[in-house]
Amino acid sequence: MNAEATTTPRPLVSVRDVHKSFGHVEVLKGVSMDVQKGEAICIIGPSGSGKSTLLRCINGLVPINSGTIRVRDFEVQNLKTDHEKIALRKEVSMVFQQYNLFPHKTALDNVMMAPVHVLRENRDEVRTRALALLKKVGLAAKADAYPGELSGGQQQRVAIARALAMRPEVMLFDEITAALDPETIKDVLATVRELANEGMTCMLVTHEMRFAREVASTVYFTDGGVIVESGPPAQLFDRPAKERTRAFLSQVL
Amino acid sequence: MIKFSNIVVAGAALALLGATAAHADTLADIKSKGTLVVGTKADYRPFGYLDPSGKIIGFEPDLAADLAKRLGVKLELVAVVASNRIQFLQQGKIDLMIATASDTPDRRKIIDFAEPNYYGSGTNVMALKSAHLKSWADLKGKKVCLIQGSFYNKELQEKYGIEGVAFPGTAEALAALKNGNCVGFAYDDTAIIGQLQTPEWSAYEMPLDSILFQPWGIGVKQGETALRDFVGKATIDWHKTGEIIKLEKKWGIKPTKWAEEMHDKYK
Amino acid sequence: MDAIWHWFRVLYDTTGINLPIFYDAFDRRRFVNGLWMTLALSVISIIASVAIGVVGAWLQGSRLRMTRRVVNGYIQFFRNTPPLVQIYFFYFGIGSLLSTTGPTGHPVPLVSNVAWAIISLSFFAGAFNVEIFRAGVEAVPKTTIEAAESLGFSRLRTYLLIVLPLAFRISLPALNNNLVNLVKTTTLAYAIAVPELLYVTSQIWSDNLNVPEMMNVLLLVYFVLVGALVLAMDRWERAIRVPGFGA
Repeated sequence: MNAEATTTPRPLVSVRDVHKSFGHVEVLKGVSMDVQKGEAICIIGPSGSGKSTLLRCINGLVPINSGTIRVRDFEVQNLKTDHEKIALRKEVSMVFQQYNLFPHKTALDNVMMAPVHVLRENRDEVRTRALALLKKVGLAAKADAYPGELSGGQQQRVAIARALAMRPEVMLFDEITAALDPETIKDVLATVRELANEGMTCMLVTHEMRFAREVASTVYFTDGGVIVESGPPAQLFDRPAKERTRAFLSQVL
Repeated sequence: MIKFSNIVVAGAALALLGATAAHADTLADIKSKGTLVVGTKADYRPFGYLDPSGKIIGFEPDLAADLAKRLGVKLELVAVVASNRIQFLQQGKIDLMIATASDTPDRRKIIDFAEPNYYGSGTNVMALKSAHLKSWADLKGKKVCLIQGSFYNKELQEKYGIEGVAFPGTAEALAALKNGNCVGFAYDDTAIIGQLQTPEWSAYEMPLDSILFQPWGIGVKQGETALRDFVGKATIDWHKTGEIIKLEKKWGIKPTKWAEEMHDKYK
Repeated sequence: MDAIWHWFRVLYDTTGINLPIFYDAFDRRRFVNGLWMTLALSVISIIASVAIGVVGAWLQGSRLRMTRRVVNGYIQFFRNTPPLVQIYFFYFGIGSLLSTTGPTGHPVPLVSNVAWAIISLSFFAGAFNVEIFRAGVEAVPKTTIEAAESLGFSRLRTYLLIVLPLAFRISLPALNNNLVNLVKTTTLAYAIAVPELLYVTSQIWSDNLNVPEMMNVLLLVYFVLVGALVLAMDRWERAIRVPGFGA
């Protein structure tokens, strides 16, 4: 019993046979995956394959039709009230493709808002932590700038700091470099790499194949609402087992 | 008071003038045709209003009937309103106007009024009996409903210290009074009398002495000296014999100081 | 001061331009009180109508169909009826039902004419403010709201901290117009004898027969009053402007 528990620890995030439809269109057709604490996984695949939807389901932003999603002790599909969902979101932070910073707040305020208003933490302590986070993403000098005054890459790094300020167990990254200029992508990816190296549990939806190969312990290839193939990056990128994976990789690599 | 004596002087002067310059003689015409046509109000209870059968009755029709009796002719009453009463007189549709018309210098420029005045109206308040108002001083600092633009508004506020609440029309002011938005409604006392005679307002009274008296005159077409003087003589008679005071009683009008003073003056 | 007041009497005696609001202490007091009443009506109604707009726009986004229906009904009622009729309705219609009997048997109204004026003006302008704010709320990107949601903000907190401040900035030009209209609409309180500027001015011109002079004074005072409001709103709009957001 004991030996078994140490070899296969309970995953932090567990997705089991999840189905999700928008109207008549089924975008997730029975997806399952496990993510261990401290692991970084990447989800790749063509547009419309349900990657982003999966992240949204894990965050409780989108309800699922069937299956189960468990994050730590939260059975996500069973969370009904705002109150229950808020408890989940303290554990799971998300960074979006369009950054979605609050345009009327400075970079520092964007980072501070949720800990102050949601976690009800001491404002001075939050400020110290927020400044440290801005420094960590390389934007200490931009603390008082408004989002409108920052480049896309800078805004995305503020968004990462904002998500980290909640001290989550899991970070979800939804195509966070897709809207960025090539020259700013590097800084954003460096920030994520650092997080992964520090042992933050990360789930990334990305088109950056080189980056996925570098940081991910497991890569999932999704197409048409199902996971076609998954495995360590070396295996999936260099020796894909399925024809569909090969076809996709030949297009993007 | 100065104004009033001015009017008397002016009237006397006109009387002299008229005696020499009379051409049309309506008085003679009335006698020959055997009918006196008088314009009175038909919507101003109790001064002139319609009884259930549709006949015009009231304080002023009674005065008209007395004049017809004195002349020995039949009486015909024509309902008039404020906006047409002077025109009717000028056009000869009526021989006399006894229609709650204030005797003012402006009107004297276009018609003649018999001397002396037969009655008049003042300003009073309509209030709940239970308010127990005794004098104008009781209204100091109290909310009193008014009609916007009434000539007495300023004096009531300045001299008597009421807090005026002025509405565009009578109906709104009465509704506000009923809702208790003001302790009283300051208005023409003769109009209040009429209002109080309807059952709807039985809990209300007109408790104060009227102020700001405006005399009413019986109007004749300009230059009708003989008719005017005949009405004047009859009016003096009414005051002398106490006929006006008797009519006040008959029509449920609160006795006025003015009618009493006129009685004392002519008896 | 007295010298200035006296100058207006001389003006009247020499030119016939009659401005008793300067030389006649009674009329002066009336006029100043009327000005204060107009200011009070305006300020209180502005605050109340903005509050109604904020709450109404929030309730319009409710998940309960009944709540949304009530808010829409309120908007339809106040937007589709003339404000003067609303004031009459409140004062004479509702007001007559809302009275108690005083110690002497008098009916005592529970709500004064001034309060009714404020209530009906606030509801009137509030109905438009709900619509104005709703347009602002709808202009806030859904993704921004989603970000707040994913950070654990409740629906109410998202509305108060993120949606409303952004919607406010978007709505400000339309809100300006409505509030200017509201200040001008306070003149309707005249109909239920609220002694505001138009009311006292008409009393003064009835007593002094100086209609042209008082009309000019009235026009000028409202011009200055509304001008001051517009200026203040413009300054505020500039003060809360955020770089890179909105126009």
